[in-house]
Amino acid sequence: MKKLPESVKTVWLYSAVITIIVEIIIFTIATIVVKYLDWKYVEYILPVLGTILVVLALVDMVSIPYRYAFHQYAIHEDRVEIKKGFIFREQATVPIARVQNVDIEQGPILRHKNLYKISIYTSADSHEIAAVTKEESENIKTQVMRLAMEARNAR
Amino acid sequence: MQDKHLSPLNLVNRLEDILIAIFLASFIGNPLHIDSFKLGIIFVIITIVWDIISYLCFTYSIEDKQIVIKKGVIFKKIIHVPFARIQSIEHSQFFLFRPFDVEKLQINNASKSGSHDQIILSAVKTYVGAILEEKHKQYQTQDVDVNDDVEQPDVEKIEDNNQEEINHGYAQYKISTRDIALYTFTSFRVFITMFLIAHITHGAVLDFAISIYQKGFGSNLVSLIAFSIMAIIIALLLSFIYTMFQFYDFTLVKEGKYLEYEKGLFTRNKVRLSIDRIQSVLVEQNVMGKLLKIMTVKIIMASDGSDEESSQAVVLPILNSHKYAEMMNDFFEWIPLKTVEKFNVRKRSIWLFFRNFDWILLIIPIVIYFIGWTTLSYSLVVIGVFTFFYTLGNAYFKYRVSSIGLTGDAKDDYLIVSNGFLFKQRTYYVGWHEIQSIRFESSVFMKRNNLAHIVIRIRKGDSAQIAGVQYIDYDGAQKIYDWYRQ
Repeated sequence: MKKLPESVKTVWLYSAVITIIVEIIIFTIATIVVKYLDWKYVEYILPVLGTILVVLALVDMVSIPYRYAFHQYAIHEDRVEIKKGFIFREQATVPIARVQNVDIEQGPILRHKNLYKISIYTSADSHEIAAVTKEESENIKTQVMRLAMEARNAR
Repeated sequence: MQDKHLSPLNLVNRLEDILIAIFLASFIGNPLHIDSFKLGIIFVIITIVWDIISYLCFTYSIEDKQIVIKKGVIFKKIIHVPFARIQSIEHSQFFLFRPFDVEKLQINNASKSGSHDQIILSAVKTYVGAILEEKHKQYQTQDVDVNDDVEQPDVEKIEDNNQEEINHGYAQYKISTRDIALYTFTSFRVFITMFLIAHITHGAVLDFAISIYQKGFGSNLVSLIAFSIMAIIIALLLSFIYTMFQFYDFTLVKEGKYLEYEKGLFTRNKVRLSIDRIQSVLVEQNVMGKLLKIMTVKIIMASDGSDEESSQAVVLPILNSHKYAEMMNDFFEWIPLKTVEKFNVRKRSIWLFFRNFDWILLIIPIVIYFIGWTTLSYSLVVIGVFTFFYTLGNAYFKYRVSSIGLTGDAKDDYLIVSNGFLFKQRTYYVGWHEIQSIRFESSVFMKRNNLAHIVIRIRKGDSAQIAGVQYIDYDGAQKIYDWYRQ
C-alpha cells in the first residue's frame, strides 16, 4: 500500500493555519457587530462556537502526523483500496469495474506544492485520495481508466 | 416521428399556473398599494402567454435509436437519450384524460444529470407510450447497465428478438381490500400527522373537539375517552382511504425479463422496467408488521429522478410472511434464498446503540443546572424521558433485526443486509455487481471487543443508498469484506 507524498503534511498544516486565522477574523468581526447591535443571547453563543471551531482546527493541526502515517491507498488489478486512520479505522474497496470516472483537482495550496487531489467516482459515491504528485496522478488516472475499460469490455 | 408537440391537454395541466399568478398578484399588490385586480389580470395574461409559448417550444422526436427532446423558450435545450439507456418507463394517467387516451410519460435513464434534464412528456397519446415500450424491449438485448461509462459510444449488437424471449416465467400479484386494511394498521403516518396538527395549533383543534364532546357527553373523563376512541377510528379511516387511493387495484406482473406494476385511482400509474436494472430488492417490516406478519417489498433502481417511483418503488405492498419464499421465487427468482453465512449483531450492541444516541441526554441536567427550573426545563425533562425509553426500545429492536449474510462465495452471490431504524426493519438483497463500494470500519476500542461495521453503497435513483450493519463480529466483517474483494 502506498502512502501519500511527504509534502502533504505541509499542505495540511497551511490549510489548518489558514482556517484558524480566517475563523478568528470572522468571529472577532461577528463579536464586534453583535456587541454593536446589542443582541444579548448571541453574545454568549459566539465565543463558545468560536472556541469550539478553533479547537477543532488545532486538533486537525496536531493530528497531521497521525493522519499522514495511517492514510494509505493501493491500486490493484481489479480494485482500489483506501485505508484511513488508526483509532477510528476505515477500509474502503472499490472494484475497478464500478469506476465511472476519475477526477483530478488542485486548489491553491495544493498547486503551491505541485500536488493533485484524486476523486474516483462510482455510480453511487466518490472516494478521495487526498494528495498525490503529478506523475502519480497521471499514473493512477491512466491505470484506473484502462482497467475500467478492460473490465467493461470483458463483461 | 419527428418534432411532435405534446397533446393540447398539457395546457390543462398548467392551469394551476393561473391560480399561482392570481395568488402572487394579490400577495404583491397589497403591500405595494397597486390595484391587485389589474395586477392579477396582467399576471394571468403573462402566464397564459408563457405557457402557450413553452408548449409550442417543446417537441419530441422518436428516432431509430434514440429519443430527442427540444425544449426551452429563452434557453433552448436539446436532450438525447438512446433507447439502450432506458432504465424504466412510467405511465401516469389522470382519470379525466382517459376518454382522450392521453397520459404522462416519464423515461428514466441512469444518468445523474439532474431533474431538469429528465425526459418527461407531460401529455401524449397512449400510442406514443406503446412505441417507446417496444423500443425499450428491442434495445434491452444490448446488455447495457448502470455500471457502463456513459461517455462510451454505443456498441450495437443487433440480436434476434427471438433470443431474448427466454421466458423465466410469469407471475402475478393483485392487491385485495383486506390487504389494504392490514396495511393501514402498519402505517403510523396518519397518527403522526394528527399529532402534528394538534401540536401546531397549540391544542386549539383539540380543545374545540373536546368541547363538542363535552356538550354531548357531559362529564370530562367520559368525553375524553370517547374522544380518544373517535380520534383513533378517524385516523385509521383516513389512513385506509389514503392507502386505498394510493394502491387502488394494485397489480404486479412479471413477464420474462420485465416487471410491470399498476396502481392508483385518480391517477393511474403504470411502470415497466427490466429486471436487470434492479439494483437491490428491499423488504421492509415495522413492529406492527411483525405482529400482523406482513411485509412490504420495494425495488431500488438507478434513474435520473429522485422521486419514489423512480428510485425506490413499492412492488408488493402487502406480503404475508408465510408466502415470502413463494413470492421471492416467483418474482425475484435470480436471488438465491439460502443463506450460507450469517453474522448477527452482538448483544453488546444494545448498550452501544443506546449510548451512541443518548449521551446527548446528559446535557439536560447540565442545562437545568444553569437556567434553573423553568417551564423550558420541564419540557426538556419530558422530552428527555420520552427519548430515553424510545431509544432504549429502538436499540433493542436494532439488535434483534440487524444482521448480514451471504448466499455463497462467488461473485454471482448476494449479500443480505438487514438493519433497523425507527422501529422498521429493512432487508436489502444486493448482488456483488450492484454494490458500488464497501467500507470496513472499526476502532481500537471496537477491535478490543472484536467488533466492526460493514457499510455498502448502492445506486438509488440519482443518488446513493447506504446500507450497513454495525457492531458485528470483527472476523465476520472481515469475511464479508474479503468476499467483496475477490
